[in-house]
Amino acid sequence: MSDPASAGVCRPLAESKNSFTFTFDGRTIQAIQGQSIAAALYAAGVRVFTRSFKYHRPRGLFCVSGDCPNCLMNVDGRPNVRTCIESARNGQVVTHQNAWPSLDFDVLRAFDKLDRFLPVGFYYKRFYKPRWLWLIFEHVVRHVAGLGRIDAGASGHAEAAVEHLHADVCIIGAGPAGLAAAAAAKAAGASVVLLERAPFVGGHLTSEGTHPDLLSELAASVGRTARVATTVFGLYEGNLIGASQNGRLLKVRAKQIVVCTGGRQQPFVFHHNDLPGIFLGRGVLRLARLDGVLAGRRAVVLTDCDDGHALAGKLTALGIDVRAVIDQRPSCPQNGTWPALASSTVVAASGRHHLKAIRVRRRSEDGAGENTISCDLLCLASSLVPANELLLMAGWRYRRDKNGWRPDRSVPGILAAGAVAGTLDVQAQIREGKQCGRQAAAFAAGQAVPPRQLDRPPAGRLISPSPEPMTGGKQFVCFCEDVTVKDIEQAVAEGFDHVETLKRYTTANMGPCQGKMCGLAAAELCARLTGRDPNSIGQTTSRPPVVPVEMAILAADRRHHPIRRTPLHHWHQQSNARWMDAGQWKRPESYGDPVAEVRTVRNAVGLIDVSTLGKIEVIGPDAAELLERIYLNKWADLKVGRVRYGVMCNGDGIIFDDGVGVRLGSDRFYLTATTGNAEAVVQWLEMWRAIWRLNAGVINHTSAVAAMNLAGPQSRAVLQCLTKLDLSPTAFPYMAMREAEVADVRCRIHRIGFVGELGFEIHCSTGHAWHLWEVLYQRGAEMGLQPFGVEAQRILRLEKGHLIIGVDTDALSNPLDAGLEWLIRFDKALFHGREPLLRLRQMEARSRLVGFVMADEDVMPDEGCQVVERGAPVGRVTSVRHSPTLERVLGLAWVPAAHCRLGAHFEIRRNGRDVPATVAALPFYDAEGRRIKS
Amino acid sequence: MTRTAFPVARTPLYHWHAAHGVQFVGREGVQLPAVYSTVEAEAAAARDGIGLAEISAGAKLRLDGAGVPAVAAGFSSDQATVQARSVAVFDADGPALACRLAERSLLLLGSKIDTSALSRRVPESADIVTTDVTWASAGLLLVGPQGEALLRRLTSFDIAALRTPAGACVETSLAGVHALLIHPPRGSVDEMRLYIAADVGEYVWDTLLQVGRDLGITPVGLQCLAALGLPHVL
Repeated sequence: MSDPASAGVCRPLAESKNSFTFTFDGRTIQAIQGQSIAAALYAAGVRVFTRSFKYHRPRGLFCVSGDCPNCLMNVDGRPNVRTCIESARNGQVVTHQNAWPSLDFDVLRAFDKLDRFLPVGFYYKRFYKPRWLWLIFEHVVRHVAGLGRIDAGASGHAEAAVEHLHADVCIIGAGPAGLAAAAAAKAAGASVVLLERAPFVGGHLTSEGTHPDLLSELAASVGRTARVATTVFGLYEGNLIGASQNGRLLKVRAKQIVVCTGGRQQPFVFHHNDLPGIFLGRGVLRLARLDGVLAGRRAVVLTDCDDGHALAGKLTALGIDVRAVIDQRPSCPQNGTWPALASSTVVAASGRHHLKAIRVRRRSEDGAGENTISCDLLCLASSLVPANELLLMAGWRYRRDKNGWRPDRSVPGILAAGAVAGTLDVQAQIREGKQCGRQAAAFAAGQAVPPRQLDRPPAGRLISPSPEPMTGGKQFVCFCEDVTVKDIEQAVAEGFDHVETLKRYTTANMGPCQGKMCGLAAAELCARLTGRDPNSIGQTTSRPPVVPVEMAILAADRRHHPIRRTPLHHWHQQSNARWMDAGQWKRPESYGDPVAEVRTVRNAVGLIDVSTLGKIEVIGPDAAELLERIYLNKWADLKVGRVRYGVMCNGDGIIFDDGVGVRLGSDRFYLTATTGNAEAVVQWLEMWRAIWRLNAGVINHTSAVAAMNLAGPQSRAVLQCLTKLDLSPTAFPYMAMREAEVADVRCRIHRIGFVGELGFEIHCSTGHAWHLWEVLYQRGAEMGLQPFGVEAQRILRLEKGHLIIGVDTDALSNPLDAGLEWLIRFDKALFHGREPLLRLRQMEARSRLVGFVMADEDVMPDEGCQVVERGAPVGRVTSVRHSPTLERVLGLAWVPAAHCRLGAHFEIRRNGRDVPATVAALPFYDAEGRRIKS
Repeated sequence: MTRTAFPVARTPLYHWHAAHGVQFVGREGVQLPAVYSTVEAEAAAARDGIGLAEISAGAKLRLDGAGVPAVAAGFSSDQATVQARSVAVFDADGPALACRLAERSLLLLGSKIDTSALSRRVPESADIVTTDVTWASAGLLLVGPQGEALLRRLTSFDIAALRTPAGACVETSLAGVHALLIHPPRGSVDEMRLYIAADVGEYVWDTLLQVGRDLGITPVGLQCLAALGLPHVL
């Protein structure tokens, strides 16, 4: 939170004495603490700040509020920084962009003379004939187009933090209306978050230096509620507000939102209306009041409302010589201090790199007359238009009437006060702010409040500027994309007369300002050219972000990448394990030599950490029934203490997961699921238990229980050293489970063997896993025990012909084609996938999962390689390894059913060459299962 | 059968503590972090910023089923546990917490490692499934004035909604993982407990330390917790 007092409620003219320097294109620039980069540059005599996007025309400061594209520069390697709102800092390196070799002399300015070859939409009409020239065109276009350059060599690693805020009422904008709303909501007992883009509160009262007492009173009433220098970029469903503050993403959720984003002046359209030296009137005041820099010495004000005359008075107070006030209205106030010309407008500005004079046309009953006024500053003081991007995004709609754009439709939960709602008088803004604040607090507290009447009499005049088409040179409607009146006329003539198609064809609204400077002007010009009412033209869709946001900030809420570690993670780390990712899990791929690990398991004994397996308990009178309906095979007849392999399908008969299960009691089962599917299987069981209304509970023990697999011919001997349990084949047969203490740790031991050897899968609490593993490792070392990783496990299981769900199967694999038909019990009345599997059984299989060996032992295709037939893909390799046991390259592949007989040959495309393979019987190793059952 | 050393259990963050020079203390067969630097330094850091402690070892029983509402009412005289998301203090050989996760789910957190004291408080009922989840989750404790600010950076849940005098709990997402947040009934010390799956304990611990660096987060041991007035938290 920032203290409004310290945040500069009424920042005086850069009163700080702290000065420092930064560099701009190698030149040292003096700046004062608190000054913007642009202000320091302007004070140092810089007038051209950037070059325009298409014609490379010189552009200078214009809005001084971060809305327009005229001050974009590269700051410390960051392109497209709005230097008018970026604070200068000691040692900053600022460089120009979009100009070569310099801002003052840009070779690409030649485009300005070639405009007849670059009409609107020229990129849709050029560069395709002759075809061979396209490569050259593309090279040139890629170099010329774009805005700013990112440093492709930079590390590109940027992280931003996120903060979640919750409030009863969130107020966007801390101008007079926003401050009043915040104070009223707070006084009503609501929790309030007040967000303000500027580094100070008070809005235009601060930047224009008016009503200081009123401002101090308002600021004091909100206390420390305001978050300044906080830019709201989006308003989303559920009253979620996206904002950025000091490189941090703020996500604010509020029961009620009050938008007080004010209004903004708009450019007028005339010849050379983009010349440096032409400013929005409020920009001139901001530059003077907040940064202590005068924009010029000899000013002319162009206006269509009383604001221009008030501005002239403020300029005079700042010491600027006001040469004239040009008023487009038929009559205007006269005060004798400066000439005020009614029924007049500026038709052209002149100057090469900066404004030198303007040409004024005056209409009278006697006809039109023109005269030239010498000046170095032209202030555009148009009537304010609502800064309503956020409201439009939220669903509010505006309508234009004789008084200008006014709210026409509101949405529940979002209120608006101040200029954004069409209220221009300061006292009226404060009254409206208070009313909205109280109303929002009441809504947030659940109190019934009569809806606010939107169609109230306007407190002030509110019209948008009306661009007048004139003959002559370039009159810019969109500064960002260099779209002129002529471009709009041509686009409308070509049929792009809908505001959305006009936007896409001309790119007006699509530049850095996102329509803030040009949106209404383009729409009104379109209305005028097509003879339609502006309300039927409407406005383009407002979407987030309404201001540019760094990608790192947008990604701030996605920067967490959870890592799951087994309780043995650090043991593996100390043993120099090579890691692999299995979803969020870290698993040891190997400990250096997977082939040696395979040989250890086949010849002695190995130990693998399988704690990542899903471990699920199903309890209740209907537990067996639930498993009967979920798995393809029978479970009701499973005896207590016996283990069974099971496969489950989804409703389409597609393989979903597999694993083993053990019956712990008449109404208790303990299941394992694959590493990647553990949570999904738990949810699957939970969902169907609830749908079928079965009396069974599902408990996920995955995080509570560690598991390790002791496998190999010596595994029984190792384990027998550590338990009193009789491990003999008769006492503890294959596919049985026993509960016993191993090394004084209570364990559940399964006699199963995924790797095809005598094996014991031991489950214990995660807290005791380290102790148990260490004891097994130390005791087993005497018998040749070595740990083995996932790579060795995959080789071993492949030799045994065991498939891995998700590796050897995909979202189209059914158990019939995958060779699991032996498992399916169609005599069960109900199980998931029964009906589609019955239909599939009647049909001819299209493909089969088969084992294969490569004809050439030196050739090993990659997993995923295509199985081809006459050059066309007909299948794919799912698993392939060189078997150290069998000294063959072997694998699993989906092949056409017609070619799945044993001994059939097929071809695999590897590196563009087709290599032969032969269908082989599964399993490749220990077909009788003697070793696993020993 | 060969005799081996008596098994000593390790908490999910044991290796982090060991790598950062903690002095361990054995309690009920579990190695627990006692002190990292000095009790005074840790307590001062916790009072000014955030103290972060591991409290994984405490006994945890989860009760699920239709019988939970009746059991929950028995843990508090003021009906605090009748409503979901509420927390009540009860005695189980020391102060323990009963957290009502949902209508039919209750989590009991003990101040001992062994679950027997908690089990004694659970009546036999066919309508309740009791699961020992002591080793399923890592427990972390945040103590200090900046704890809420830290959590606001990691979860979209409105933390202020938990900070009621009567205490509250909620299951939500924190730093991308599922977490249970518990604000115990207000005692002399303002604490917030997090419980996450044991396998993401180290990830969440690292994330808290990284994200809370500028808020003055400091790992603290059991001795510091005792000095802060939390002698029974494990």
